[in-house]
Amino acid sequence: MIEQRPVTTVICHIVLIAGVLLVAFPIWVTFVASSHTGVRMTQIPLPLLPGGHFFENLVDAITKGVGNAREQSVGLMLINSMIMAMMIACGKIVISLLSAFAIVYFKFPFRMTIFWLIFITLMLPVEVRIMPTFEVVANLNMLNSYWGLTIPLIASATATFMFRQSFLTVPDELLEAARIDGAGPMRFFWDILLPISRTNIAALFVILFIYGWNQYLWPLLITTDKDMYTIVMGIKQMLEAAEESPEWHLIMMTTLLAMLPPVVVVVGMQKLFIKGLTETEK
Amino acid sequence: MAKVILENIVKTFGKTEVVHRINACFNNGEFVVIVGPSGCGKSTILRMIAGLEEVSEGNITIGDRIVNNVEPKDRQIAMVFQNYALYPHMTVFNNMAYGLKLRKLSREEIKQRVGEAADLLQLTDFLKRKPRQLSGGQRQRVAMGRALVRKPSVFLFDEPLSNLDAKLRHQMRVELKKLHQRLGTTMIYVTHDQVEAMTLADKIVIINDGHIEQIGSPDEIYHDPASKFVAGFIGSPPMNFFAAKVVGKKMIEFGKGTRMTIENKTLPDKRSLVAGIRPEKIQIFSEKREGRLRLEVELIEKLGAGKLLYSHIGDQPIVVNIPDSSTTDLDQCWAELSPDNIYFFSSESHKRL
Repeated sequence: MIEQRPVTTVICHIVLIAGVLLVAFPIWVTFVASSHTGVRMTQIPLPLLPGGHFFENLVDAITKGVGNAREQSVGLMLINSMIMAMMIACGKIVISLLSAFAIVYFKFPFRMTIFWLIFITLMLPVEVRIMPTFEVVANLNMLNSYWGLTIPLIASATATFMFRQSFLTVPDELLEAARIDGAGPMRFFWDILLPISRTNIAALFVILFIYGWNQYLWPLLITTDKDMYTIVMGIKQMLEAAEESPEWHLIMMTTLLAMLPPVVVVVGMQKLFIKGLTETEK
Repeated sequence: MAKVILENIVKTFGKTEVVHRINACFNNGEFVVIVGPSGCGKSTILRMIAGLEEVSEGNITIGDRIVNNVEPKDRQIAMVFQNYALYPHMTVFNNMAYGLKLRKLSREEIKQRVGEAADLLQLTDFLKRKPRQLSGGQRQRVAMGRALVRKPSVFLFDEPLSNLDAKLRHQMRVELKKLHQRLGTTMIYVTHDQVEAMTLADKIVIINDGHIEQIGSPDEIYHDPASKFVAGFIGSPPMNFFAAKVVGKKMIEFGKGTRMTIENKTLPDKRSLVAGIRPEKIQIFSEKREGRLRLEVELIEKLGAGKLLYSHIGDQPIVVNIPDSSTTDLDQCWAELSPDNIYFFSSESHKRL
């Protein structure tokens, strides 16, 4: 819709600004809270302007840890989260690229059955299969390990489906030209399919990284060892301060830190991300 | 360089047979054009020669070996596709070099071969560009270059010019012909465009509905068509056809009572047949005379050089190609159909009589 009446413009801006405020306000409060001392955060009214203890709190949170998880520094939790999110994102991409490649380019019996089986799992969220999955992971002795954190989440029907759709738009002649040039199936995959799926991969990576980073329920279930805590579940543990009141200033600092990596990934890959979702030229 | 022989080739997709027992032999160094309407199976034939499609029955021989079970890359062929099928993420150089790299040629050899091909096709300035930065004609040349560097014994072209605009198509057609004259390699070219077929070919294969209608040189095909289909397919505008009856020893009748004496030709022993005459072989005159047919002009199309006149004789439509030199007054004109230029076809089998 291309309309240039001033009234519409004003209304559009009001709606947009309201939206931005709605999203940004909690983040602002988080930031403000993380820059005051713990004592100030227990007094009412809560501050709305930043205080002067931001860097103190930052150092405190990263090195010393917070609340019940006192023995566990936020720095280590960040590293754990990072490893988990990377393993999930990369693993999902590799596996779904390969399975989409198999489904699109190879003729084998029950190909469509397999595709639909994969597709059906889209409808089942992790929570539905959480008990049997826990059982399997426990029996494989993967509790409290990176493998246990990532492997149950590493297959992705969504990504497989997306890659399948994008492979289907690659013209058949490209495959045929490669065959005449002497490229075998894996060569074709590596030399041609991968490079032209580059933007798709980047877009999916952004989505999957955030998905992995935000995992809460699963890490909560399978990690009992404080060394394996991830940051998103770690924040929850901090709130369970038994004797003392929660250290809001440090918790909010941790929250800020937890938001940072997804933001970096989105901002850094923004261009590729948008290209991957919109580009159709092959 | 190699001979290509097709022996009793059959292709079925599921239960439908799309190519029916085709036999053909293409000699070393020939420019063969396979032409036919869309969906007639011509691309399927080419793809079987390339090895992209399996042969259901029969044998394909390239050079002196049967290649039915040989991988495309080992058939010593190169193919140019209709939509070019360039690798979009590679530079022009890499597009051409990719096949050579896979064949593990040395770096210098690759560089030299790509350089030669680029020279020949005037692509030297574009070697570092990506396909999307090139125009249609340049992409087409890159696709040809990719075929050229492999030094194949047979080139296969699948409607390579149909994505280009008319002017560029003409230019590329000429370049392709020159290329063939320079290389002398066997080329097999599929198209639905009869002009490309006539201008490029040493040998034309006309396919209709999975059958070969006729194989011959462009001259043979034009002057001596084997069937009504060939006569109607080759030539632009297409040949005029009339349902006709033999009414006397040397007399045929078409339309409602338009009769014509055929002097120096023995009429086939059939009651009804199809007569055909090319638009460019009909002469028109301003004077009425015995045997000439009155033409009521319905439409004139100007071609620049010459005009096309649309009319009816009886209830049968007719097109006449009038050369520029003609001074006949088109308001009052008569057509003369010289019996020498009339072809007769069976009205059942549509074969030439």
